Amino acid sequence: MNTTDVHVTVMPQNNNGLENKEIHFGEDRPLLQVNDLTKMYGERIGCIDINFELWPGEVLAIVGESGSGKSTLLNVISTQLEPTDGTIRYQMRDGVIRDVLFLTEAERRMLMRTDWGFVHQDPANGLRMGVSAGANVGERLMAIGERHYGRLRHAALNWLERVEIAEDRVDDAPRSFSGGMRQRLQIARNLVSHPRLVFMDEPTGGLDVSVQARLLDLLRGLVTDLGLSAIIVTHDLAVARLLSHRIIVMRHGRIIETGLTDQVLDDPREPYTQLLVSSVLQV
Amino acid sequence: MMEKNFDTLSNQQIISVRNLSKTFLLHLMEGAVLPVVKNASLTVDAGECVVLGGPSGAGKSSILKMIYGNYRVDTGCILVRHSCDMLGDGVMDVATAAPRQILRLRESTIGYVSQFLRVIPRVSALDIVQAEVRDPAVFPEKRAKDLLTKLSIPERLWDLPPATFSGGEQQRINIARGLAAAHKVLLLDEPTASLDRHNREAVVELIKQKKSQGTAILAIFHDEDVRDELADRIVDVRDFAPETTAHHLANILE
Repeated sequence: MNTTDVHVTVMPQNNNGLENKEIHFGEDRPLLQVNDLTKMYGERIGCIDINFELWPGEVLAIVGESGSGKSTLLNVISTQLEPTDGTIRYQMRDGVIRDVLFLTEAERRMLMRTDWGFVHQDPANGLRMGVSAGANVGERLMAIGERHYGRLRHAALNWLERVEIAEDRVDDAPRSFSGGMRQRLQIARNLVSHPRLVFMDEPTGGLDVSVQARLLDLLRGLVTDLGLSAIIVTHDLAVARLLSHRIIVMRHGRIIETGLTDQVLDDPREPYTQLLVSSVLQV
Repeated sequence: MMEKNFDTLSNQQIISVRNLSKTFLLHLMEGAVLPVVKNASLTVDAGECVVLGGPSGAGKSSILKMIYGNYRVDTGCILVRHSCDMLGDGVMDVATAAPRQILRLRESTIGYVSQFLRVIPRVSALDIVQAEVRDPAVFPEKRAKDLLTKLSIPERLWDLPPATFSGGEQQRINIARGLAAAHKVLLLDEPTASLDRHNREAVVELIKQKKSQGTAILAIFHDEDVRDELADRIVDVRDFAPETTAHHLANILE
């Protein structure tokens, strides 16, 4: 992986033919393959025997209650936690499939800040709270060699617009932003390098319901327009229904049910999934 | 396996459902077993409208949902002819297809219209409808506006998200959405229920157009006028009743 692999320019709104081709090119092979993945915390199970594939352009929701192992799984797959056992294979931008656990530290860091994104539940964990919004967005571009101030500024303004943050806030630090704005900024900061895979940990958690709706709609639009693959951890089945193509239900660290999102939600098979689905208040 | 299926789907057939069975197991109701259909078989040809008949609770909607891949199938197969290059040889068995294959099939081939619109925050009525138009030969906006006009959605509502619209308006937007694409298969779950006469006639007219374009339609219509006007054949779902349901019905009828 080198810097020429990365889109430094800002991608235009919506799909153009080129992006479509990229998606379909990888269509015959999974983007990510997770095999027999296990994370133990001593004797305690974090997650165990996890197997799944993620295809290009696919959005996967991992649902389950607190302590089900869903966040552990996300952190292991995104190489932020070391697994006890198993493999995580990823189709790199050059088409080569690599086990991400065997990347060099430099390769892993490059992957994390270019081809992958990670949206934390608490934006403070994913942003630099003391530096300007523009610098937050530009950081990834600078990390891959962009030094031209005008282009960095342009990219920042473009992305702020796409996540609905007013242009005149570009020089303000996210410390002065509302929770919803911070979360939108975190998304812009991740997407600016045009990643192919984005991890999200409860991206709407902790936000007011009205703010959640706006964020969800924004995410839905971005994911579709950019043809992103995403893995979203959420305990909110409405979020899963709106954003994901496929669902994995976890309990006690294991995958207990998986399938097409509307299939799992409308025709849940496992007792625990039936309980989850029937526990949602209808409004 | 797919080749064998392909051989047995005759030229005109677009959908072939064979020996389809489905039972719900309700774990929260002390493991209650709810059989829905047993050995359901039916076919729909290109340009044909087949209507599922029978009382409520007989499994009509469940059959449509299984064909759409929304409900899972216990046994049997659901062959659907498609023209999606990415799905291979032209016929797919929904019952055994992978999730992403089902999504492709929905995008390319199968439309589904119920009475209920799932509202997405902030997306306008016009965008909801035009997002479904994937035919490169058609201008999405023109097609969407045309449908909204035919279904009497006032122009002042087009740019608004339908969350605050009346039930009838949402229902008609959902119909416009379902009919916007040039799908070869349409599954209709009472799309005309509770529409006024004018709008019902508009929907019937639109469905007739689909038929004349060769769309295979499998539908549930409770309205007899609509059924008489559109149905080429009626398949009585009671023929697929599992014993317990038949027994249950017999008890009610006595």
